[in-house]
Amino acid sequence: MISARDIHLKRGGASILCGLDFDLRGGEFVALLGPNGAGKSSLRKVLTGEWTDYTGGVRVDDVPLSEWSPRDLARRRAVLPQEPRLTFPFTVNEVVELGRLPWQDELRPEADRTAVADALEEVGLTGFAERLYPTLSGGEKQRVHLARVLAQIDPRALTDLLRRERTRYLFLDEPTNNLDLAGRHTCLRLARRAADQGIGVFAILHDPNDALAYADRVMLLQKGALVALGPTGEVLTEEAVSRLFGVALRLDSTSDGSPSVFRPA
Amino acid sequence: MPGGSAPHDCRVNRGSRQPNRRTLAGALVAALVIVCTAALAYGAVPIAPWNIPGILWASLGLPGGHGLASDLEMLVMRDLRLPRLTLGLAAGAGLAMAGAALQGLFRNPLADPGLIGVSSGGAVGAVAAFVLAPAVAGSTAFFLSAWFLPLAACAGALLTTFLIYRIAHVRGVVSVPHLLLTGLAVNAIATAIIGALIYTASDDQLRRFTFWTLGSLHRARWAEVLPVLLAVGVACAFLLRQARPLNALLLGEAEAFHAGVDIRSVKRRIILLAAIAAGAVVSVCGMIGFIGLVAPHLIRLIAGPDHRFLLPASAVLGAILLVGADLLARALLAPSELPLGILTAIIGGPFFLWLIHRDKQRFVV
Repeated sequence: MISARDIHLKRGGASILCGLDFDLRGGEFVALLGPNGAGKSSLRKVLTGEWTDYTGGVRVDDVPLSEWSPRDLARRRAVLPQEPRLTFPFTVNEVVELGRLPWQDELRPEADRTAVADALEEVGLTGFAERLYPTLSGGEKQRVHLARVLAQIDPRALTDLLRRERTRYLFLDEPTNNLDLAGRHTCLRLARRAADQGIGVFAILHDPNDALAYADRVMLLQKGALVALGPTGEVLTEEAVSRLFGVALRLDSTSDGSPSVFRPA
Repeated sequence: MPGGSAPHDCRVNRGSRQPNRRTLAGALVAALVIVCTAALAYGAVPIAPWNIPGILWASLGLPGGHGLASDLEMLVMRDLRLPRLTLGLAAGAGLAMAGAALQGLFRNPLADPGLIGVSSGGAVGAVAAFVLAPAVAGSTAFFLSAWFLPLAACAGALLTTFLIYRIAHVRGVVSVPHLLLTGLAVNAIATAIIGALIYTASDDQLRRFTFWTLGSLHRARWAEVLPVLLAVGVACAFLLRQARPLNALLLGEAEAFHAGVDIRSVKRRIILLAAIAAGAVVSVCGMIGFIGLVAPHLIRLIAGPDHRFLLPASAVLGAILLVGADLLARALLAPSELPLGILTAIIGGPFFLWLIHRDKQRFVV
């Protein structure tokens, strides 16, 4: 479990996060929603150890975040960045291989190779291994990085025993940016599948409909403060979401069991 | 995944880079052997290439060496050609690998140790040690010892690399204009300091300086070559171990951290090792520009940016280029020699201009 207690963050005199409490457990998909500037990415950076100038405590599997070595942390939690800035002409295979960096001391090259191949297959890029990364479309690049982070937390270099007792976490910072409709849903479906496999998934999303379709729990953030945190169906009400984004929305329920949909009222 | 595979089938798959790398590695080794042979053979006392193994054998004092070479050949080989070749190989490899590592750290293919001021920093360190230390200590013996100059140069290089890194970092990203402008300023300051020190130097010191600031291998004596060889060897061996962290750094610092790289210690290590390599080379050879820019760039062009291949291949190509350039420098104005730094600048400068022209978009702020 990743647990955050009483997180306060100030930047340049402004209060960015004020007093947040949050738990992420293995096997659940938590969606974070909020208007621009609510502090969503800041919270993600605090939870993943990228920023350390906050007050309060973050613990990963009961160990304070600051006591984790970057390598050990990277073996169980991966982060899909918001906008990957890679410009060097790596092949797709080489980019995904970067995810295996925390495992290099295990000296299990064949485990690394199969982890990379499986991750590529999982995101549907099997035939792309030798393509040059800069020549890909935005959606394909996003999938390459998704494969990279999936390969990163793939524990197959460990023994079965160690593998079973270890929870893994995946942080997705606006993973659907720049993606077309198909790319967006394949990306979220993969995140859902990761959660079903026992990985704790934390995703910053823009569209409440994506959260309705894929998330177990939803967290609403406004001006750095927690507005609501709970099961998706309970948190994502017409009233709460309309107030959060300042837009009048109507929640259309369906009778055939498919997810409900927010529409402009 | 159902989405988006069909529309791209028309694109050409460029195929694996593995065959590319194997061919390139073979070509590099072959070129290295040829250029080394030529460097040992060519000179005022010509030595036939097929006699080189025998002369090497004899001059190393190995059993059965008697009668394989004349005394003159042995002398030339042991005291002139071999140390000069060794220095050339170490200098080329050190500059090229320092360049490749700094380019990875700065995430920018233009970070040449000469261009961004690392070499100048090393030069100031060495010149300061050379001129000031005897005055302070009253004795030149220790301060001119083969070990002190490289140390001072490494310290100067380290200081400037650190300074450049701090200044060129803008909001967590290395900014190209800041990097190059910082280099410009550092080079200007270094030139001024060196000029001031030279102004106060004695005639004898002056002569050594002039050749040294232009870059040259003519100071290759074993006593001076060995410290450089040691420093470059150690720095390169440790830099090779940073290949995968360097790859991850190309994703960006935050991403590299999330991928398990201890950013602070990796950055510190790379700066330290690159400064040691560049500083040690500068202390004996002076300022030899562009090797650290050209060698990694050509390798990247053919084999891609993976540092596991890029670092060692750049070192070999850098060694080939530098020894080759030195051969030219000795041959063009024989029996006198052209300063090596002038030659590398004449060849490397236009290459740099071509790079800028080709990548124009990347330089628009």
